[in-house]
Parts: sequence; structure tokens; C-alpha cells
Amino acid sequence: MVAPNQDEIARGIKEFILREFLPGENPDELTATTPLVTAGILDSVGTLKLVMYIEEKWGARLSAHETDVEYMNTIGNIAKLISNKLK
Amino acid sequence: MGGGVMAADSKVPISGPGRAAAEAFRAGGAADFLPFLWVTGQVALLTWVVDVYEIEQAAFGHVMQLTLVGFVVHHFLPPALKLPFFVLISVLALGLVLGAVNAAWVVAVGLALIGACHLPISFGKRIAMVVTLGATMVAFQAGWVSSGKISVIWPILGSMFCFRLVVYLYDMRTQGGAFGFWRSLAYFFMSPNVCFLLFPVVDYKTFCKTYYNDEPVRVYQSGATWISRGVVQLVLYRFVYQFLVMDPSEVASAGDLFRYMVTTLLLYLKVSGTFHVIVGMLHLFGFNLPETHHRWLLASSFVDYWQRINIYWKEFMAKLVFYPVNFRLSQREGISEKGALVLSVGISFFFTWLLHSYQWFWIRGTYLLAAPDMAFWGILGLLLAVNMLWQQKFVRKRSLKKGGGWSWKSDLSLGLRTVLTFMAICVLWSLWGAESIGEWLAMWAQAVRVEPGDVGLIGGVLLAVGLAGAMLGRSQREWTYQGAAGKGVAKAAATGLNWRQLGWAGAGVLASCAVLMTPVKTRLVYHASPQVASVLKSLRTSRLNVRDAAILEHGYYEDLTHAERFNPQLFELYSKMPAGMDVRIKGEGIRPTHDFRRRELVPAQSAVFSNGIELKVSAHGLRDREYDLHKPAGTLRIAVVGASEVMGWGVENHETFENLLEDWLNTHNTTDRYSRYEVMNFAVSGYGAIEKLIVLEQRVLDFDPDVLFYMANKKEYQLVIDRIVEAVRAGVSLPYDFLETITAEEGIDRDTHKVLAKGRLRPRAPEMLGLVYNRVASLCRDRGIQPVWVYVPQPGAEPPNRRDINKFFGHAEEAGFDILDLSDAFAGASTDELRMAEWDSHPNVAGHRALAECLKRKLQEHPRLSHLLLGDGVPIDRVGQVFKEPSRVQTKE
Repeated sequence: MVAPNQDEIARGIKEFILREFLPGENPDELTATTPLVTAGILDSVGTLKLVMYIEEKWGARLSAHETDVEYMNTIGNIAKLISNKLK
Repeated sequence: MGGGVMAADSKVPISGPGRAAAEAFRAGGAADFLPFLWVTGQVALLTWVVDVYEIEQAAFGHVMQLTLVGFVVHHFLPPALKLPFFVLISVLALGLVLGAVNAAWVVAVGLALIGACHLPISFGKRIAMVVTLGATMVAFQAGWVSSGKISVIWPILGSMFCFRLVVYLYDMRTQGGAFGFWRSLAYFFMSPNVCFLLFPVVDYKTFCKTYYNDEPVRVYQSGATWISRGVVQLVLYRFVYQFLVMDPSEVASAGDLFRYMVTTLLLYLKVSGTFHVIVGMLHLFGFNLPETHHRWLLASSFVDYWQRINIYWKEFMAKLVFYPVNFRLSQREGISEKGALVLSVGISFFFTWLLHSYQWFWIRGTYLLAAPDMAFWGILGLLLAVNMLWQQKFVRKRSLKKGGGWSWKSDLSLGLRTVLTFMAICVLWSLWGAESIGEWLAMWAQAVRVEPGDVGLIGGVLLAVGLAGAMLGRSQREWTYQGAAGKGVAKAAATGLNWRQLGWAGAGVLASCAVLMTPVKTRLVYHASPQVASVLKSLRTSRLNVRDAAILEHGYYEDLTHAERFNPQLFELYSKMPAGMDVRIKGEGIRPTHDFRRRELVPAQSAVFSNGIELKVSAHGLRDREYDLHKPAGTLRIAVVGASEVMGWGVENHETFENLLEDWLNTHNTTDRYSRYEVMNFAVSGYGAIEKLIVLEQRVLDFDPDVLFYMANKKEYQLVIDRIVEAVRAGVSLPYDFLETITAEEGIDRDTHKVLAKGRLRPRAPEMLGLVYNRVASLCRDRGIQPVWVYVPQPGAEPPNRRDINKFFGHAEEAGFDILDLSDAFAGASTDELRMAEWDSHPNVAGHRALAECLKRKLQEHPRLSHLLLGDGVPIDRVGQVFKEPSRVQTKE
């Protein structure tokens, strides 16, 4: 099976976030650089949900310290982290 | 690097816009210099405010002055020298507060701990090494091994290392930050730490990532803003603490209970204010750390509350416990997503409780184990878990739009949720603050009564909270700890300094300072309201409120385990108290009596006060010189009854003010009327009005005195209530029928909780004290003894208003005492010159001298007493007859 590229992962994460946390919001306003943690879109519960989704969808296992804002604050950063893990 | 040898990193602390700006400043451009000058002016003003308000005592004032100078020098240093200079400032602060030797020890032990983290051995072995060093420190801090004169360093080291070392090792393990010699020293030796043992758990990774991650002046400005916010909160805390906080036994209605709960929650302003000041100070050295608290009174759910209050702690727990536990549990078979969530929250709160006790140990040297603590953390953890499950199922509304697209319905909903959360937190917080769960329940039992004003009070406060919540409570998580790095990056994207932004922020700081520094004695304030002027004046000093002064004093005689557990003011005092100073009088010279008096001095024995001074008891059981039972001919004998300040707590026998008075009377006896004066000290520590009456009846009369000095203090009502309740609950019979009658009328027996019992007796205190005074005066008159009521103040511990004290004067006057008021005995001298120690308000040698001087002056000024005791109008054999003639009014029986 071919590992998804970073853009595909980013798309998947964006869809998940829009569906789970931002229903009814304009998808165009959620970009790869929109802050998630610092803007309050991802909190502890949200982060755990996203981590579960990532594990189920791509089989990428994250470590606890990777829930840090450094990795989780934007869709771009999350996609990059997962993409690196899947390589 | 993930561990092992450290890099010499001082060359790389500043990056991004911060570096460019720092270099531009060094180039000396006037346009850049002015903003820096603007912030420096604010910091200078704040330093002045801290000094005037004696924020955190004098030591912090000195550290703040050092910070001001260090801030200016630090700013102009090249980037490579900034971190080493900050470490130097921190070490100087240590030396300033602890002295050179202790500071050297702190640095040496600290270096050993940091060094152990970087030994070129496996990570597991390094942890073992750190644990071994930590265990050695535990032995010193617990007192299992004596560390002699350097015992003062362990709480400071504990505060610096007990959590930060854990974070440091975790980040080392997970490669979470850049490690280097100066960076590590700066992380552990933060200059404000020497004054604030209760310190926010700064995350190492955030500490590194936020270092000059923005324009320097913008970082400095936020530092000044936070210091000013912190100072304002600390002054508000003083107002709440000194004027609003209630004793549980004062709760008599629903409104009282509400006030008790809200003010107990507001005591947290002390921690919130302190943390703002600490982080603000760190900003002045480029550490652009995030906010530690964010509008914590306006949380709209338990999760929201947890995210707003002590944010650093929440992030610490999330990083080290919540996420790791949750990740592990989620990977286990048979544990559902919800189960993992609940368990990880539960375990996080268990560790929160445990680590608070651990922190307590490092600061106090004892382990904290109290039922209300466990109940508080347990219930909060449970509520948070339920709240998180709810949020997992019903996702809370989020929005990408600024402001969130809110409507009046959502505002109303937010306001209501804020009110409900506020109420729930108040209830929980009052439980945490209670001495025991029984006390907490007893308070609720008192609150069944609703007074007319209660509905207005409760409704008004809740309405204000709801409105504030709806208007200000909706800000997103910009304040969160994790957001710091991202926030810095976002700000870095902004170009240049925004003068308007700086101007507004600085104007806020200046406005705060201007309000705080309003001269209280100006005509405007004083003539508008002397009471307001008095309140403002009292806010400028850090002092115990009446309740805590009583607890502290009570602690001299009783083992009040963790009296300061939920009490920032007492906590601070006890933290400064050297080991062993909280021990009560030790030795054979004092013994329990198992009756109402509870204790007495033992004839011809001695004991030792906690400061090492000997208490020598005379052959007749007095803390005094030797006197014959039979009064020698021609002698005027004055008997003195009182409590510890009269007994001479912590001073030598010859230094007590009653002995100084005796010496003066005999030295200046030029009348030949009396061959000698004897002032006999019957005082015993902890005695209130009832015990003094017992002493008069059982002991004083045998010595045939001519005059009785009844020494009163500010606790006349309180000690009557406390002693009766203690006696009834201990099954000790009350010494007078009128006391039995009153306790029976109030339905108090040995099973009544002390909070309830004190609450019921409180309204009867004036009546009881009046009866005691009448009995004292009447007994004296019957025996030809002149009763004199003397008010003895305590240095630095007098209540800000004299409402109750004035009532004592009224009772004494009504009973027929002559009155001597020594309230101004300590005028013109500083409190520290007159009291034993910051944690001990008993007068020291200078304090006793001041009392003796004042007593002499008041005697000379009193027409009747000066005539009878000092003048030449009354022969000795007629003194008793003269005294039998009542001075004012007859006593009522």
C-alpha cells in the first residue's frame, strides 16, 4: 500500500476538523496555517479525538509529547508530522 | 542534544525579530531608544509601588530594585551575554535575600543537580543519580539529618527544582528543547524564585522557545503590564483578606455563607497576582512566557476553569500525566475511549493532589494530608471528567470567525453557565478552605436563615459575574500555555513596533500606579471619608487579619496542624519561620491543669520559649521575681493578670514591662509614703477574661494586693467564646453559673460542632465579657483593691478598626474600672523593631520597654491613679479605704 502524501493527509485532517469541531463553517477559512490550538479549536478532548482519528485513518501512532502545540497548532504541521512518521 | 554533555549555548539565545531588534537597539537609534525608555519608566514606577506597598516584604522590594537595574543593563548587552547576565542577577538576588554563604550553597547544590542530568551515562542512571540527590535533600528538609545553619536553603532549592527538574528531564528524554549551560542555569535559577517559593511550573521547552521570540520592547511592555496586573491583584487580595474574609463561626445566614465562599475563592488573588508578577519580571529579561491565569473567575465550565486557572500547572499535568496515561490506556485492549479519558483525568487529579502535598513538603518540611484537600481534588477531577465526556459527545461551539459569531442567546447562555460554574467553584473552594469536612457542613447548617439583605447581595454578585462572563468570558485560548510558541511566531510576523499598542499598554500601567499611589492623607480623600483613608492606609502594609492573627497566636500554645494549609498569608509567614520556632513552651515550668484554665505555671520550675529564652517560675508560681505571700509593711502591691504578652513571652524575667514598671516605681519613689512597690505578674500565656477572673479568685487575693491591673488585649471577646467552646467540647465544667446558663440557652453541648457553637455564642460575647468584668471589679472593691483595666496592644497585630476594642472600653468603664489605654505605646517606631519576629507579634525587649514607658506616662497623666499610686495625698494604711470608694459607677450584679 502506498503511503499518502502530505497534501492528502492535510485534506483528511481538514475534513475531520470541519466535521467534528467546525460544522457549518466556511471550509475556505480553514487553511493549512490556521492556528488550531492557540485559537481554541483544538483543546485536550479535541486533540485526543484527532489523535484517535489519525491512528485509525493512517495507522500513524503518535507519542504523548507530540500533542504539543509545536506539532498540533496547524493542519500543515500535523500533516508534516504524520507524513514523516509514515515514511 | 538529548542529554549528556551540555553545549555552551550563550551564543544562540536570540533569534528572529528579537535578535534584529536587540542589535538595532545596541546601534543606539533614538527611535528605538524611546520605547525602551517608556517601558523603563513604567518598571521604575512599579518598583516604587512595590516598595510603598511592601509587596511580599522588604526582600522583594530589594529584588525588584535589582531587577530594574539589571533590566536596563541586560537590554544593552550583546545577545551572547544576556543569559549569563540574567543568571548573575539571579545569583545576586539569592545573595541579597539569603546571604552569601547560603546563596553559594544553593548554587552549588543546584549545579550538582543539573550536572547529574548531564552526566555521560545512560538516561536511567542519570535519573537514579538525580533521585539519590533528591532523597538526600529530602532527609535535610525533613530534619532527619541536620543541615545546621544552611537549613534555609532547602525550601528555596525545593521550589526551584522539585518540578522543573522533572520537566527538564522529560524534555531531555523527548528531545523537547535545546540544552546548554547558561540556558539551564537560567531555567533553574530564576531571580524572582528567591522571594516566591510558590512558583509557577515553567515548562522548559516553552522557556526556550519563547526567549526573545518577539520584538524586545514588546516583550518588556507585556512584562510591565503583567507586573502591574499582579500588583493590583495583590492589593485587591489585601483588601479581601483584611476586610472581607470571615471566620466560619461568623456564618449565621445564607448571605454570610455566600460571602464566606466568595471571599475564600478571592483569596486566590494572592497566587494569581504573585504569578503575574513573577512572569512579568521574567519578561523583562526576554522570556516571553505566556499568561499564568486568564480571567479565572469567568470560567463557563469545569474544563474551561481548569484551562484558565494556574495554566502552567494544567499544562504540566497534561504533558507529564494526562497525555502519556491516556495514550497508554488507549492502546490497551478492553479500555474504551471514554474509559481511557475518565481514568487519565482521575490519575491526573490524583497526581495533582499528591504533587501539591509534595510541593508543600519542600516549602514547609511537613507532609500535607487533609480530608478537605482530597475531597476537593477528587470532586473537581470527577466534575472535569464528566464535563470532558459531555464535550466529547456534544462538541462545544467553535468558530473560525473573530468573535465567534455570537448572538444574544449565546451571550445569555454563556452568562448563565459562568454563574453556575462560579457558584460550583465557590462551593468547592469553601470545602478546600475548611479545616475539616465537619466544619464545612456546620457552616451550611448555619446558613438556613435568610436575612433581608441576603437576596440582594447574592443576586447582585451573581448578576455581575453573569454579565462579566457574557461580555468578557468568551475569549478563545490565546492565553493558553501551549499557545505561547505559536503566539510568538504570529507576533513575529508583525513588522516593527506599534507605538499605539505600546502607548495604551503603558498608559494602563501608569493608570494602575496612579490609583495605587493616591496619597491617602490628602484632604480630598481624608475629608471625604476618614474610613476610606484608613482602609487605603492599611492596604499599604502586609498584616494578618484578626482571624489569622488569632490562629497564629493560638499556634504558639496549641498544635494547630496545617493551620496555614489554605491560607496564603499564614503560609507565607510559616514558610519564613526557621525550623523549631513553631514549637510551644517546653519544659517543666508549665503544665496542663485539666480544668478551664488548661495550663498553669509550676512553682520553682523553668521552661524555655521557642527562641531559647528561659521562663523562670517563682516559688509562688509566678513568671516573676520572688515575693513573700504576706505583703511587707509599707508596700504597695499591684497584681497583674494577663496573657502571654504580659507574662513576657520570649523575653527575660527582668525585661517584662511589669518589672520595668516596678523598677521605675521603686527608683522614683520620693514620697516616702510607700517603702516599696511590688508589681506581681500572675499572667499566663493564652489566658482570656474568664481565666483571669479565676486567677484573681484563686490566687491573687491570697497576696493581698492594693491594686489589680487587668491587662486586656484585642481578643477579649474571642477568647471568651473559644475557651467556653473548647471546655464544653472537652467535657470540662464551666467555672461560673452564668456561663452554664448561657451555653444551655444556646443549646451547646459537647457534641455541637465548634463552628456552630462559636456562631451561637458570638452574639452573647459582649454580655459574657460584661459579666466577667463586673465580677472582677466587684471582687476587687469588696477587698479594697483598686481595679484598673489596661489595654495592651500588640506590635503590628492590631485590627485596622477599633470597633470591638471600643466596646471593651465600654464594658470596663461600666464595671467601674479605672482605665489606662496603652494603644499608642508603639507609635513612632517600626513594627519590626518592637515585635519578636514577623511570625510572632509578641513584644520583644524594645516592645516591653515601650509598653513600660507608656504605662508610666498614662499613670502619671491619670488624675486619680497618679494621686493614689504616685502622689503624696494618701497614707499607705488608707489606700485600701480610698480604693473601696467606687471611682465611677456601681457594678451591676
